[in-house]
Amino acid sequence: MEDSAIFNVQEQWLRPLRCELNVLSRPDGSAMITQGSYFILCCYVNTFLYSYRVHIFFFKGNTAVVAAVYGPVDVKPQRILVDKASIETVYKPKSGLPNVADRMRETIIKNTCETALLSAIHPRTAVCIVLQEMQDSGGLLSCCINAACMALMDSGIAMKFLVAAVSCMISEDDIILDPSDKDLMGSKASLTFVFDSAKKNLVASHTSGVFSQEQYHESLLKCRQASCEIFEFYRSLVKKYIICI
Amino acid sequence: MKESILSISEKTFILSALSETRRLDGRKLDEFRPMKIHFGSDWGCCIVTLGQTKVIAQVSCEVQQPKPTRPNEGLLLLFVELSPMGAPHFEAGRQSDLAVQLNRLLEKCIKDSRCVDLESLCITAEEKVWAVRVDVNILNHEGNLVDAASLAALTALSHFRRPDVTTTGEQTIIHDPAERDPIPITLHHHPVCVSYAVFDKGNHVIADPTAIEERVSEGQIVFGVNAYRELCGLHLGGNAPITLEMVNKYATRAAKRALELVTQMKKALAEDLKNRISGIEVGFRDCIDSNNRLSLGKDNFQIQLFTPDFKKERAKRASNIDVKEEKINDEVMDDSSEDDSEPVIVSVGKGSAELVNQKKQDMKLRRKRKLQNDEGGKEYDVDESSSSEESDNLDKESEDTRKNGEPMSDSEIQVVAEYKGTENKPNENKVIANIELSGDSEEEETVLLHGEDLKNGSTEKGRGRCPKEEKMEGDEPHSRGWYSKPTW
Repeated sequence: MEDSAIFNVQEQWLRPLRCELNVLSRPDGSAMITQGSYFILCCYVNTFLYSYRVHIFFFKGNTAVVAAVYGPVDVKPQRILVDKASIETVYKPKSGLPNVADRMRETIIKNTCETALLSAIHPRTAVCIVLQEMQDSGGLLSCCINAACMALMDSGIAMKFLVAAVSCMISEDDIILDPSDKDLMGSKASLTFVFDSAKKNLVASHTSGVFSQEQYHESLLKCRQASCEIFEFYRSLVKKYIICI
Repeated sequence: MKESILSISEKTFILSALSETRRLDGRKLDEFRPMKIHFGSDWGCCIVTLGQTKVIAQVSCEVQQPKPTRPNEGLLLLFVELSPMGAPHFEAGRQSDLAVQLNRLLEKCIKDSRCVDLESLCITAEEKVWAVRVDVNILNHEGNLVDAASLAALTALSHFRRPDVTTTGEQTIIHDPAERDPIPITLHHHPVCVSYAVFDKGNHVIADPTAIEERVSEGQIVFGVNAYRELCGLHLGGNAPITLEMVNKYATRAAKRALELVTQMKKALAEDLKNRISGIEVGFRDCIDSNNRLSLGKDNFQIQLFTPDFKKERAKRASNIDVKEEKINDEVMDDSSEDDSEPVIVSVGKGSAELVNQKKQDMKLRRKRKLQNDEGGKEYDVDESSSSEESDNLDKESEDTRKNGEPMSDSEIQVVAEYKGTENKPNENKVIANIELSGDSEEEETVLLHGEDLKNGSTEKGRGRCPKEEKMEGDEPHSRGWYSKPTW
């Protein structure tokens, strides 16, 4: 699988993803996702004598997350749900104790996974999703959701659909897909959308900052388009791992 | 979630395997799992993998007020966090006993050995010092968390760069990394933890135990050792009786391992620095190899009792060779037998020989051997390739001797006589066994004779030593476990 930049919309791209399934031996399912790398743009410069090939390097962060899932397991009595599995999410920051933002992230991931999972077929059990931040270079939330989805898929638990999260930001005049932490410095608003694989419907949307309704719709469209690329990535990943599983 | 219960059969399986110097993952008793270090793009961030055990460490720093007792020293804080990611029974946000123990061990090893130069972390005495915080998160618990955590903490500390600070009179300026190059932390020495697990009242000691071995073990020995072979910390856990000799012996081995680890760590650090200087962006992205499906992940076959050595051995047995050979790399667990760890060929009469694992012979035999050594006999060490050849030579030679009718010494006459004696009177206090030549049968009794036979045979032309001289308990035929147990 080549790390080719995904040229989705003109001059808009998602940072290339890399994913390894089953990275950890103890959990039922685990996945590590890294997003971001060098981009190499090839340009041909024609002079009257020679034709040069020029490589332009861009570096856009390197967000990395590990996710682990423990399939239907026993649940604490106070968290037991009689009609469906209760979903527990733990998000661990790289250093220090989890703060409010981390708790927020945890809840968003939990709600998203709850939608994707067929929790009704495992009543009185728990599904435990643990996420460990390894590197935050922008788009941590979308990376976390994608990693959680991959870990759930790896664990083999029943799901309604897969989910793909795409983040974007609104700067002064335009919308940038999958911004790195450097891009985010000049952002007015940052938005993260989660789509399902079945009908590409919106599953979750998390926004912060100031933006207009038109901007929201425009970024939603762009992200939906980009989410197809992520589903395509999932597909290629499954193709790669089908031999192992 | 609760920790899964360890079944008795698992326990006995591991113990009986250990008594035959085998481990579930095919390692030798004193063999460590391979260690790898990956660095993140931030300073002071690394993943250390030790076999399947994975640990991530991140160092961060902030300006704080120093302790009133040490006004010109910075602060070093170590935190080990066990999230449920590592193992299902770990709980998030609650300090378990294991977490406290790990924390304390790391503090002993890194903080109490004073390897970090805390005085260089002082900005203004009594007012502002750097507080360096090391967070160690366990990603996957497959045993020996101490080693992995201590190495991760140390690697992260040596990798970390703190922002530069200038003080002008009353003003303190902390420079942005973009403005001024950040400064590394000064480390005086590099202590790492090396742990051993003790089994069977100290008879078996294994290096780098896995999670299941840790649970079965009776005790743990954890050494904090630096690359200069200096002991920086020692922890004896569990209830196994651990003698001073054992501590000394394993401390020397731990020192060797520590040196290896520190060398590997420095190499990884140098490589990382080289990449950063040359502009290659470093990150965890590189630890996922897109051409490899399981570059970070687990091996598919975790239980590897059938090691190549074992297979070779089995093939040999199948091909019906007189001299059975085995490569014994295992460390012998008691001190006295350390020099005997090489296998020895013993002749079992004319035309056959047997390779015997010396360490399994009892003390009585050893004492006897000493006597024999005084008489000039030596152990005959065999290496794999030459052993069968040698035994052929031996046979020829011994035949030659007999044919040529060389003058035999008294002792040799005695040998023959005695040997017959043993055959006739099995109840005598001598080695008696059936030598197995077919090689098909799973049940086998091994004859315990002595290496001096062979030595004498090859050097003194078939002047084999008498089996009687080795006063073995003849009634217990020495059987090698993995021959006689077909399940293995």
